[in-house]
Amino acid sequence: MNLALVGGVAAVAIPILIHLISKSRHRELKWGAMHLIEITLKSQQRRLRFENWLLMLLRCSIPVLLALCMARPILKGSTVLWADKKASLLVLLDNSYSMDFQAAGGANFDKARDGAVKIIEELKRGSDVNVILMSDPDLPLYDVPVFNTEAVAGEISEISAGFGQAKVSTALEKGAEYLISMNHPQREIVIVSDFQRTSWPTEEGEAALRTRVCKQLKGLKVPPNLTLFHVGAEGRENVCVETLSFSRLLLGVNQKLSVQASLRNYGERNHDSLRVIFRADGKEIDQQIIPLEAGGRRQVRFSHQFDAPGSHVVEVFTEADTLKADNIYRASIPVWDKVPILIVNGDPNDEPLKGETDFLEIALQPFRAGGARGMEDLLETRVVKATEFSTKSIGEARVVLMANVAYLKLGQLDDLQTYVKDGGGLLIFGGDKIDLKWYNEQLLPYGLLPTRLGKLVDKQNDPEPFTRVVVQRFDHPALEIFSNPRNGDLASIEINKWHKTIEDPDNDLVRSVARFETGDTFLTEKKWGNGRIVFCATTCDDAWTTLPMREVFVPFVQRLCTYLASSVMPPRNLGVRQKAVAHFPLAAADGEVVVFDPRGEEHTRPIEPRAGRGVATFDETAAPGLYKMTGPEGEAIHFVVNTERTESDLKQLTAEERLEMADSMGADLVADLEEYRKLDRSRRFGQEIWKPLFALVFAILFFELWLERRMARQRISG
Amino acid sequence: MASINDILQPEELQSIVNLQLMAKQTVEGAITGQHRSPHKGFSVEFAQHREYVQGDEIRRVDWKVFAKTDRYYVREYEEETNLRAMLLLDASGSMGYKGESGITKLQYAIKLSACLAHIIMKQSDSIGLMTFDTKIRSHIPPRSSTRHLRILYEEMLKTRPGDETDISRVFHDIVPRIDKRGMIFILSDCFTDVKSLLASVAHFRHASHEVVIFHVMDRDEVEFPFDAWTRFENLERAAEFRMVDPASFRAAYLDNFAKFTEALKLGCQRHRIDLVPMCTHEPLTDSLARFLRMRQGVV
Repeated sequence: MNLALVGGVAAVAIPILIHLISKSRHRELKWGAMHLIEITLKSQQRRLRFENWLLMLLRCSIPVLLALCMARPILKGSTVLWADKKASLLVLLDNSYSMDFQAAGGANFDKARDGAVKIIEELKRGSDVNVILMSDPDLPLYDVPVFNTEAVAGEISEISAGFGQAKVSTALEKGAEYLISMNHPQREIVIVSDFQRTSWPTEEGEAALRTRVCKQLKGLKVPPNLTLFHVGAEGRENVCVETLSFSRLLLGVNQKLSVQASLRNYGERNHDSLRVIFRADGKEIDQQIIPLEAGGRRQVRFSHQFDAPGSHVVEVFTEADTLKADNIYRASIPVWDKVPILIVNGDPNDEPLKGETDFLEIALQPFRAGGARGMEDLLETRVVKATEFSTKSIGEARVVLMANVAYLKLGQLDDLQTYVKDGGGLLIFGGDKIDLKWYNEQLLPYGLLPTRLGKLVDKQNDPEPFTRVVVQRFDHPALEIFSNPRNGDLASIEINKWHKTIEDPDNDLVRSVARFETGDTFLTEKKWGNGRIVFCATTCDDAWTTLPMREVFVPFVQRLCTYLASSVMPPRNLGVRQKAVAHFPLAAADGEVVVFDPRGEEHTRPIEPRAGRGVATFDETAAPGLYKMTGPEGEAIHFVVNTERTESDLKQLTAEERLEMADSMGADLVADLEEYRKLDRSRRFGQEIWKPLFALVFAILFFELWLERRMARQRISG
Repeated sequence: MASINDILQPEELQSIVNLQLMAKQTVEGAITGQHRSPHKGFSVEFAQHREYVQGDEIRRVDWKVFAKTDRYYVREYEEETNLRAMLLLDASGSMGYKGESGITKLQYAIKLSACLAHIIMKQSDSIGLMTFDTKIRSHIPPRSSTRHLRILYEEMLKTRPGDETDISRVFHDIVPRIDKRGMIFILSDCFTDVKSLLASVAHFRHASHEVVIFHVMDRDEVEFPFDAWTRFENLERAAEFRMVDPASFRAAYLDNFAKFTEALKLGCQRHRIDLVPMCTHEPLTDSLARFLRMRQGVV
């Protein structure tokens, strides 16, 4: 029982007692003009009674309200039914790398994690919890909600930040999905984040998406309470290594690799001498001191040669600030001793340079063909007839090259499809042997032909019996060096005949890489599965074109092959959560690989036989950093997981913007644990209303005073 | 026998003397002028005998008395006046209210009546008195003798506040009892229904009487100055009372009082009745002087 409240209720009697006492202390008067009193009473009784009752009510309410204020009452709604009951809590924890920013008092993420842990620990026993890490919202921390809150709190304590970019809308959408499987009618979603501007854009599109998802949440059968928990200070200094780019598509032993790093200063401080270090396989190779002004961007170039084939790692690093995640940019560089190419010859001929692929073989292995001593070709070709083509013949080939192949048998087609799907490169040259019907009805539906082929275009009898390739600024990696004619003049090629391709502008997977002056496509590329296909509309011998006779032919086919070969092997520079895939000889199938993640933890994965080779996959790549996979023979393959560098801009939403956003999301905003507790209490038990009550007391006092004065004025004026 | 000294204080009496000249002028000029006597010459109404003194007219000697007593006596006749005035004194319970002035309305009205009687008698006019509440409590017809005046004073001193008022009915009863036309002075607080009061007063007017109402009020009734809770007990009905907070409805009371006096004033104007408001806290002579001035047309 609240004594203040009891006192307040008792205090109601005070004005009544005062009234009764004043009434009992009346004077008695023998009066003559009673008829005037009667008339007056008759006409005024209702008003007087109302005013007196109102005054009495006001006076009675003042001590009651004051007592209520002292008793600190709580306004209770329907939520009171849930008070002190179990709840279902879904924590959306921002573990993006910006949260790793070290402010005074620790990293932002430490504060976020501690806050989340405390919230979970304070849940009523029997409550269930799940956690979504916002950089990787597709997979919650647990498949099903967990009732052991202590264990969850313990596990969260082990989590670290630096995991890519926060995906807010996706996390909210997933949150809505996971919430359905939770158990209690009181549901809470708590988003713990630094509310970095890049992840929480206020632009209409993203904001509208967030609002839409929040509306969906509110529309759930049991809508959750949504709380935005802001943690962490805004970083004022941050330099990041934004990108690395390389001079070669494919790197051979002792070939010079130029590495260009782009650095950006997102901070407010100018760096006069920023040290940038270049490392290869963990060893420092070079370093440069550069100035980098606030908000500026600068490129730094390094070069290196690897003297051994295999998987290597290069990294560019700067020690600019405390946010370590973006101070380094790594890349996995495979260095090839040989790159096997399989050429499928559709029109073999024993006479020199009469065979369909004779020019091609020379162009791909010029040193061997030229008998140059001490010079090694990176590409190593092997030629088979169309009838000999099979999975077995593909072997370790990084690129399959089909030269004027009429058709393949169904089994061969299946093998080729699997090969491309798994990341193989396919280069198709046209020719007079091609069975157009088979190409359009078999190869195209199998996904292995970029576009439908039309009729053959023949300009031999035309006044101008050839066309040329339009040379422009190429943006395609394979052709970009030909933007400068000194590297090879594609315009020097004369083409008499070619296959007209029927383009499909709606197909985003297909792109025209180069065109003839007639407007027809010269090279068409299609990405399919993990592999790529390039179709060349003319021949690779001199039957339809002067291409093999031109100097540009060698770099042209080499670039095409290295480009396709570079994508043959499964990529080793990955995004967050992208699968790491490695190919092994079929003989290694059923063996195992060991993967060491960035934290040094060891994972074992099987090598599975697939399409004539052994394939090992590792998908736990949520954490950016270096992953090292060791094959059965002890060979090492490095995978590098890099995150988008958008989070390097550490600017946060302002307090007003956060408030506006919370409003638009229908959420409550808290800035610390105490505020959250207060909010939670108000949701569960109601809201403390002593302040408005106190204001009401004042209002009543003023009103009572006004009413009293008004009545007094009436007396005086009378 | 009572005298005016029993009713008025010496200073009031002195003030009355001062009013004589004004009163004489007033009565001759105003009252008498308006009420021309229907009779001419000597009065015929016998008053008393007195012994003959030298200088008396021989024709006024009563020879019959001489024959019986062998002494000369002269007949004295009561002088017939121009004015017959009647004082109607309200002696109802409400007239018993005594406010801060320390005098009840009835006492004030009695003093006023005494003054009026004194002044009128000094002008050799006749004056009578009726007291009433729900009914006529006493009736003394108009006379002009000194002895009559004392009888009036006696009656006035005896008068005490009575019961309820029913002025209208009483006035209707009074009208046939005043056989000759003259002047009617009503001294009352008029606490009754104004319409019926005016109707009854109009009855006097139909009987060709001149009517003057001295509306006697206490200051408390006019200003209603009470603040604390008050139990108002009816002076006319012993068991009746009202417990009210006077402060809260003072305005309304005064509004109703104003309506009441306004209605009375308008009604009196309509019936050509002189209404003289009087308040017990005002010196009596001031109120009277105001009346006399009003009759002279000064006010």
